[in-house]
Formats: sequence, C-alpha cells, structure tokens
Amino acid sequence: MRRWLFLSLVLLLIAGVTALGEVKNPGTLVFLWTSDLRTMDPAYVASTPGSYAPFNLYDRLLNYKGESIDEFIPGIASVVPSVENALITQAPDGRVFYTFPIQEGVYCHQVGVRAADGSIEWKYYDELSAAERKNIVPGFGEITAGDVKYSLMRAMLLGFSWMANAITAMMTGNDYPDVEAMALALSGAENLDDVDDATLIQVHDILSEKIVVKDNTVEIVLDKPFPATLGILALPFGASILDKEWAVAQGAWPGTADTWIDYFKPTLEENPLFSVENGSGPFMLEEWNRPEKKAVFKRFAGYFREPAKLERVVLRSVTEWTTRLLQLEAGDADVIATPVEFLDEVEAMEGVQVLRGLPMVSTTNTFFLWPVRNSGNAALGSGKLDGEGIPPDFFADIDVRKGFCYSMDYGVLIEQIHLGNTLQARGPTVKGIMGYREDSPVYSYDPEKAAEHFKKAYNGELWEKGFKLTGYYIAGITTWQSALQVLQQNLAMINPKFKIDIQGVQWSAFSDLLWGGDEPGAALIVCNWGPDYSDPGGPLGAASYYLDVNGAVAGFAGDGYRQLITEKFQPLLDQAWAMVDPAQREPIYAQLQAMSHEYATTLFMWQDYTYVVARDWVKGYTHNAITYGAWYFYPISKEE
Amino acid sequence: MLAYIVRRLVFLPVVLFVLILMIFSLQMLLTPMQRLALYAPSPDYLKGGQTFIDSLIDLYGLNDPFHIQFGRWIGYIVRGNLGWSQTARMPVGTALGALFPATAELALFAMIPVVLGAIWLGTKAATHHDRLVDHSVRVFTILGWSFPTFVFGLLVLMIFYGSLRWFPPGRLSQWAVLEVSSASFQRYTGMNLIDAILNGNGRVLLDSLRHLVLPVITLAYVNWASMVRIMRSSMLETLQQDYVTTARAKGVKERVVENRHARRNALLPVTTVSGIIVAYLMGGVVITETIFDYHGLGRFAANAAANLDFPAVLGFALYFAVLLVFINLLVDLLYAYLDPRVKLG
Amino acid sequence: MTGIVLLLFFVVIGALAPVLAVPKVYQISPYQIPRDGFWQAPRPPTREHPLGTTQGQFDIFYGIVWGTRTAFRIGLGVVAVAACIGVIIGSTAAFYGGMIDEILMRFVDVFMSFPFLIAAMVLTTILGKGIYQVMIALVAFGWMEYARVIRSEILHIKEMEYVQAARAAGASDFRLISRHILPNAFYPVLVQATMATGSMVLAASALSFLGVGTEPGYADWGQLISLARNWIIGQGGNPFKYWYTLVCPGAAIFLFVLAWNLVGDALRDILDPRMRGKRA
Repeated sequence: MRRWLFLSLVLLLIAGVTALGEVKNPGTLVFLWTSDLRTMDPAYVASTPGSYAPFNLYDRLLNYKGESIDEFIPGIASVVPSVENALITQAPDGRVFYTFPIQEGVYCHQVGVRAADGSIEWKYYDELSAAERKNIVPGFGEITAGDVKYSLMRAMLLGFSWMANAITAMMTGNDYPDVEAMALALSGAENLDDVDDATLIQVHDILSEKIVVKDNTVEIVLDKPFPATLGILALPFGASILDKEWAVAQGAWPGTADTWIDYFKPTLEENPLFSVENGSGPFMLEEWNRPEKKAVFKRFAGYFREPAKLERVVLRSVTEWTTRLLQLEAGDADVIATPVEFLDEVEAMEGVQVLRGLPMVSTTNTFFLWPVRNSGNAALGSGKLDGEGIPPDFFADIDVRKGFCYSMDYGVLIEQIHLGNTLQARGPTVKGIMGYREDSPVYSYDPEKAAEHFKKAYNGELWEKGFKLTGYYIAGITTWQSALQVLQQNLAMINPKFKIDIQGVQWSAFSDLLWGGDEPGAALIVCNWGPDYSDPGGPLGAASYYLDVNGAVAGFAGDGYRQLITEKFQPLLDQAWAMVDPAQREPIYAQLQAMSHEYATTLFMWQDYTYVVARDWVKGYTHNAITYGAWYFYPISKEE
Repeated sequence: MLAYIVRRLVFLPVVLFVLILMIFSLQMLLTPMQRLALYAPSPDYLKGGQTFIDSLIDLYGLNDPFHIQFGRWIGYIVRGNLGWSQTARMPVGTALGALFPATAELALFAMIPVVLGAIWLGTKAATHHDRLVDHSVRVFTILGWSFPTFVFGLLVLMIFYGSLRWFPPGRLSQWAVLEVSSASFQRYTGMNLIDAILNGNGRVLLDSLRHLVLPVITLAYVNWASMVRIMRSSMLETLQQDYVTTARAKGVKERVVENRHARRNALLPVTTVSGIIVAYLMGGVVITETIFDYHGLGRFAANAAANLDFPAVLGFALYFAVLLVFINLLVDLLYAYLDPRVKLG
Repeated sequence: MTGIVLLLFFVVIGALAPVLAVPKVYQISPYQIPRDGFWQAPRPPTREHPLGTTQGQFDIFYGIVWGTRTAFRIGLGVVAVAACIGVIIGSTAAFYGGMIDEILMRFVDVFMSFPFLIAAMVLTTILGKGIYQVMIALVAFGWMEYARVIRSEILHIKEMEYVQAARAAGASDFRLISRHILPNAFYPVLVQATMATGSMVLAASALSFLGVGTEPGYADWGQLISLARNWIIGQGGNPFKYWYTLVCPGAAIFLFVLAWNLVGDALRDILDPRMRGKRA
C-alpha cells in the first residue's frame, strides 16, 4: 500500500517537473471564449460568435476599412465602387448601378484538379506542387464573377438568416423582406407550399436580373437607392463569396431557377455546407470538434494577398472565468473573454494588455410593453390598478413612462455596474451613426420629477394605490439584473407602494414572453438590440429597429407601442428613407432621436461596448463597431 | 446464475420505454415558442418578425400533433442514432460516443484514490474509534462533502496551476493535441492515457497524467465522505463480531485481525457504494468538468438540459439508465461472489 | 449531542431572522438580500456589513441569517414530502409483493436512472426559477431512496417471527402494517432522512452553480457560495483577499450538514438493533 503511494507521488513529481520550462505555442493564437460556432455556411450564420467562421474563412466583395463603419477597402472586388470612380451610377429612371470588378487569381482552400481518369478531384491548394497547380480546372476552386452571383443568389434563396434576407431586402428596394414573402405576394398564396412553380421561377428570375455578370465584373442593379448597400456587402455573413462549383459538388443548390425551393430553409443538419468550408479567406478550417466546442483555423498559404502571420488559431469555449484567467496568466491562452468587473485587475497583471472602450452599435435598454397578455398573467399581478398589480396597458400612459425614465439612476449604471467603461444611451442611434447628436436630450435620475409625473398618471390614482409588476431579464446576465434592481430600489424610495418583482428567466421562457403570442407576456423587460449596418434607416437600421412599425422592437412591444409608432414616428422614417442626400436625412434622424426621448418610448440605458483582454505579445487587433468586435485574425501576430 | 442475469435484464426495455415517455411528456409541457429557443438561441435568430418565427416553428415540426412528434422520436431511437442534438451539433449517438472516452477515463482513474483512500481512512477511523484520529477523519470527509465541488476544485486549480504551474486544466496541452491528432498516433480507445501507453509515447502519457491529477483529486475528496462513512461503520460492525473477538482471544496480532479477518468482510457494503459512485462518475460530473475545462458527458448533458435539447437529454438518460442497470447487476454479482451467505434471486 | 446543540443554534437564528437582519422597504420579500450599491467586487466586513458583501454587494450577514430559514425550508420540506412518497410506494410494494412489487420497483428504477442534476435542470427550466420550483425538482427525484430502504426493511421484517405470529393470530393487513411492521421498519428511513436534510442544501447549491436555482440574490447559502465563484482565486498575489465570501456561507453549510450528520449518526447508534447492546 505504502509502496504504491510512494510510486505514484514520484510519478506525479516527475510529471510536474517536466512541466516547467515549456514553450508557449508560438505562431498559434489560443482564443478562449464562452460562445460557440454554429455552422460553416455563411448564408446560415446570424450571430456575432457565429460570424468568426465566415469572417476568417471566407472573403467578401469589400471589407470595412479599419475602425470605420461606413468606409470600405477592396476585398474580392478589386476596387471599391463609388460615385467618384463612376462605379456607382444612377440612371434617369432612378435605378442605381453598382459595378464590382473582380480580382483575378483568387483561389480557394480546395481546388478542383483534373485526375487521370478525367474526373475532378478536390484537393488542398497548399498541398499541390507548382506542376500540379497547372492541372487546376479553371473556375473550380477559383473565385469568378459567376461565383459572386451564385453566392448572393444562394444566400437570398436559402432565406434562413436575417442577415441573408437583408440582401433580398436590398435587392428588392425593401419591397420584400425575404424570398418567401416575395413568392407569397406574387402568387397570392397563403402558404409557400401552395405557390406554383411558375411563380417560384419568377422569384428567381427577378433576383437574377439584378445581378449581372459581365466578363469578370459583377453589376448589381437596384430599382431604388438603398443607402446601406455597400455596408451589407462588407458584412461577414450572407455576402461571403463561395465557389459555386465546389458548393454544387457538396450537394448545395445547383443554381437553377426551378430547384431553389428544394434548398430553401434547411435545418442545421440538412444543410450540405453545415460542417465543411471552402472559402478563399486567409484561414482554413483544420478541425471543428463540436462535442468539445473547439475550432482550429490554419493559415492558408495560397491566400491571394500576403498569407496571414499566424499559423493557427484555436477557438475554445471555456465557461469558467477563473479557469480562463489562470490560463491567460500561465500563457496557455492568448486572448480571453472577461467579465467587466475584472478589467482593472487583469490590466494590472504583468504581461497582459487590455483594450478598453471599444464601442458597439447596440444599446441595452429597459422596454415598456403594452398591452400585455391578460389571461392569468403573473406579470400583471392582480391585473388592476389596486396596488397589487397593473392593468394590461399600464405603460400606455406617458406619465408612467416618464416617471420610470426619471427613476433610473444612470450614474449608478455607468459608474458602478459598468465601472465607467461606457456611455449612457441617448436613444436608438449611437455615436457614429447618422442622427446621433452629443447634445440630444436624455433623462437623468430625478426623483422629484419622477414623483411629479407619477402623481399625474391615471389622474392621481397611481400615486394613491401604487402598483406591483414583474420585470424580466435573461437569466445569467448580471448587468441586466442589476439595472432592474436599481429601478426597483429607486421606485420604492419614491413611493413605497411602487413595487417591482424581478425575475430572471431562461432564454426559452424569455423568447416565449416576447414572441409566444399575439400580445407580449410581460410589461417590463431588459434586452439589448442593435443595427447590423451603419445607416439608421432601412430594415436593419438603428432607428428602424426601435421606431419603425415593422422594426424588431415594435414586433414584440405590443399593439399600444405599435400605435404610438405608427402615429408619430413612421411618417418621418419613411420620409428619410426615401431621400438620398445625407444632409437632408441627418436632421430627420436627429429629430427622431429627440422624439424618442420626448415620448419616452423606451427607457434607454447604456451603449454596449466590448474590450479585449490579451497577452502583451498579441498584436494587430483592430476594432470595428459594426462587426460587434468579431475578430479578424488576418492581421494578428504574436511577437515579443 | 444466468437465469438471474436474464431476469434482471428483461425489465430493461420496459424501464427505457417509460423513460422515453416521461422525457417526451416533459417536452410537451413546453409551448412551441419555448421549444423554438433551442433552434434560435439568441435574439439574433429571431429578427425576422412573427411570420419568420411561425415558419421556423413549422420547419421543426414543433406544432405537430402529439402522436406525430412521438412517432418521430421513436423513429430516431429505432434507427439508432437517437436523433440530432442541436447543442452538440451532431447526432446524439455520435456525440455520446465522442465524449464517452473522456468521461470513462476520468471515472476509472478517479475510482482508484476514491476506493483505496476510503478503505484506508475508514479503517483508520474504525480502529481508532472515538479517538482523535476518528474525529479528524470524520470532520475531514464531511468538510469535503459539504463544500460544493467547485470550491475545492478552484482552490486546487489556483494552487497547483495558478501558483505552481504543475497541473493544468483541460485534457492535453496544445502541443500534445497536435501530436495526438497527427497520423503517427494511433487511436485505440479514445482515452489519452491508455492510447499513449499503447503507442509507447511517454511524453503524451505524462502530459495526460498531469491533466488528470487535479480533477481526480477533486473527485476523490468530494466522494470520500460517503465511502469513508460506510467503510467506517461497516468496519466497526465487523470488529464487534464474535469471530474477531475469538481471533483476538487466540492472540492474533491486531494488524492481522484488521487486515485478514475484519477488513475483507467490511468491504462488502463498500462494494455497493463503489458501484453507485462509479455510476455517478460515468454519468459525467458537470461541475468538475466545468472547472477543469474537461469536456465530458457531464457538460454535454447539462448543456443539453439547460437548452432544452430533448433528443440529447433523452439519449443521455438512456445511456445512463443502461449503465446503471449493468453496474447494479455487476455489483450484485460481485457481492454474491464475495459473500457466500448471499443467494442470488 | 453536539449535533443537537448546533441544530438548536440554527433554529434560533432562523427564528430571530426578522430581528437580526431587517428587510429594507423596497424588498418584495424578506428573502431578497438587499444590495448596498451595485459594484461587482465584494467588500470586506465593516460595521454596516458585519460579514462583508459578496459579488454585487449583497450583504452576507443578511444572506446567512435568512438563509437559515431557507435551509430549513428546503431541507425539511423536501425530505418530509420525499420520505412520505417514498414510504408509501416502498411499503406498498414490499407488503403486497408479486406483480405490484415488480411494477412499483420498475417505476423506482425509471426515476433512479434519470440522472439527478440533469433532471432537476430540465424541470427548473420548464417550471422557472424559484424556491418552490427547486423543491419540486428535488422531491421529484429524491423519493426513490426512501422507497428502496423501507422496502428492504419491510421485506426483512415481514419474515420475522413476531409478524408471523400476529398474522397467525388473525390480525388484518392494515393492523399488521401500522402496528407491527412500519414502526420497526421506519428507523432506517428516519436515519436517512436526517442526514439527507443536510445534503438538500448542497443539491440546491449545485443547482445555483449551474444557473438553475433560485433567483440571484435570494437568501440561500448555496447561492451565496456560488456568488463567490469568481472571487475564490483572490486578486493579484493575494489569494485570500475575498475569504469572507467563501468562508462565511461555507461555514454555515458545513455546520448545518455536520449537525444533521451527527444527529443522524446518533439516531442510528440508538435505533439500530444490531448496534444496540454492543456499546461499551
């Protein structure tokens, strides 16, 4: 017994000692986060963590220029179209033409090689010798203008992710949000299954006419101006460029008009491009270990520009903060996801750098929803204004909303919860987006004004009787819970009869509250929302999200909110979207921002932000607010 | 004997079927919107508005009638792949197979200190009944039991990795991962330690060992309490038996009395508890796995449960049920072998 | 008797909770721990916060005092209900034997083969977060042990002579069960129940750690410990900087579990007929 103990201790000691003096992975970036990749198909990806794959493995026509959210540099397109270089032109009938000349010699990670028996084999470009490269079948693994058209068409006709549907919206001048709506509208059917084949072909053809391939340029023809066009094409989602020949070889849509419906909205696993990739981007997918939530990207030596500096990038999902921190300290990890409260401590650590104050274009806010689902709803309490509950349209009264807005202590939010790392949100648009003004009106913590408004509400009944409601947030997000608690404490200090119960619910329950019925299931929630391109208007713009009746917020905030929007905000939004000149549009968006304050449509809280915690030797990170801080690993290197 | 085994196993399909029914019913308690959360795990996926959401609900068949959905489930199981797990992004069966070696490796290596340590500690406590040693052992083990696993885990991680850098989290270092996935390394079992031995690769063996140390210590410490208690009380009981008194009276040395006469018999209840602990370890230990960044079945199952990934939850439950039945059977057989007084059946 | 003393100590604290730790006016329920500010980093003990504050500035002293009540509620509530269910099912199975026994025991098997944490997680995800939901989950997957224990005891006792005698004398089934069998079979259940009461708190703590327990800020020792999770490692070179976030709730849990264990052990020593008469 004792002998075994002794032996095992010796073994352990040996193991421990050999540990000292290890080299820490030069050329490999170890990136620890808490998220996960969902799919390798760019047309399917919809979230920021998911975008890491298409961002690095695929290319787009354009890329965002450094930190700017509305300037671009060439990608697969060799020149950025603009009015100055005449690659953007407008015809007298109002149509806008974008011409993209395509780079030559852009190869994908795998290319099609003619085998001895005449068939085409897909091999890794890096592994081919110079002689073998002569056997590459033209176009097979080489990005051409035809591939660009195919990629865009496929994204639209797959119709799955909101980002891909944005391309459809763009192509149809915002007439149709996605191809399904287009098919239903054109055929008059109620259900996609009932749409006749002719209409399906028509949908394809309408879209196909808008993308014209001439030699090696791609021309996009829009019926009406869509200001965010270049922005959408630079985003690492549906606008990523695939190689058509390879995709078809994997079993994806063959590119014909009558077959797209068979490939429409596949489930995650049915998608032939789910776990394989063949982009032209600076990295290749070496390994995607799904059970272990690990992905490894390897440098693509045949990249059409200079190859990346890093040899490997390892993305690993580590949910425990302490474990991540210790690995960063030991040098086993290079970049880690960090909770905001540890930023100061981590910054003080030797060998660690922290990049702070990286803004994102979304904001986190407390939303007022009305009218609320009435039947037996716990969120409403008694359902009446009797001190034990609220009526379903509680927030219809503007004095109630203003009272709430004055009851939130924004200083505490910014200083204590976010430790000074961000700014108070001034409305739907954030700094950098048209319509943002540094001096626009915002609410501040003012218990007296709040009391004033509350006393006016419901003809004084509210102040007498009090209320009790439940506020919801997504379980696990501590900053959201803290925000609700600030509100809870302050309201009670203004009037002890004002009670808020706070509930953290799982995402499944939360989404059920917002979208599970015709009316929302909660009156007060915390959520964050942000645009997907830099223009404030259009389907994915900041102002539209919050203030358009078809926007996301109106989608869940209830009929009362939608009425308010339709009456006051919609006309201005439509007006601004129809204009082209930024000098004319900007004042309107600024006005909308001020109106959101005046009508207290939402309790705006803080601007979302991110930061980077990495070892000193990680160099080259550039932050871009519109990609929500997604890492582009191409310029990154590890240097002492 | 064979008849006994058959009898025990014959009810397994019934148990499994009821389990399937139970989990399926749990799933049907949710509204279609709540179930959609599995396929649309964040607001980004729901940006298409209500029509988009409805179409997604249709796509995944979340509104289909009860019997159609149930039939689909039975179809998955009969076909053998247990359906597709959204959280693991692969068929449930494949995910279970991929993660099983990691869990098995951890469970098997943790059992060694758990059992040996518990026997030793329990014996010490029993033979020094009511004295300082006894009390210390009891306090020590109850301390291990009453502190949540993650506390102890984080403490040892902090000391042995944070300060000393001896034993890192995870299963293998980055360089070892590259070596193990290269063509020169042959995969036999999926368990790094054993494969390293079979491949004759000493460096990977040591690396794998280093990574196992901390989770094994943690698991041992938190499981000692129950084992030590059983061993202690069983040993106490045995030491009171007549034959022990006789042996002492005959002048047999105390140590021999302990080892040869008392301990063997005292081990019987320990066998049962060992079975329970092995089953629990093989079911994945989610907290330990989370702390030490060890990807095993525990995290997979917990992730599936939190995200309401029912095919994965079901697959895991079926795996665990089968495992439990076999381990219980094995324990009973072992028990009958060790104790001639016990008759099977 | 240390166990009893410890338990009494906890009972007193729990009873005096409203006096020892006064709830603030804005609290919806006294079990919601008040927050003195919203910074995340814990603060050490001061006059105002005798045991310091944990992550998010929740007062530890308040949490421990009211957490005593929670511990008793969870512990006793769950064990009482689970034991009742288990005893009813187990004794029915044992007494009637045959097909009923087989069916009921398969039913027990099904529940036992559902891994506890996973089952509890699924249940709380469906039912929502909150103390009652946690208790329901713990009961739903905690009654099986009692069923098995009482069943094996009853099977053992059923064959004993005094029961045979009573049966021969013409006693009815009900009388047999209530007068002769159950009173004797109950002891192991009692012993098990006392020890399980302590560990219910631990199970709730594991659920909190996994994010499916009570609402964050609920006065529950397990919650308090899981709030200490990111601070165990201390800061910079000082690993013990936030010792109070761990040690205070940890001590409470440890003493509570110890108390119930000692009581359970003592009960067993007293009640177990095999040990009776052998004590020196």
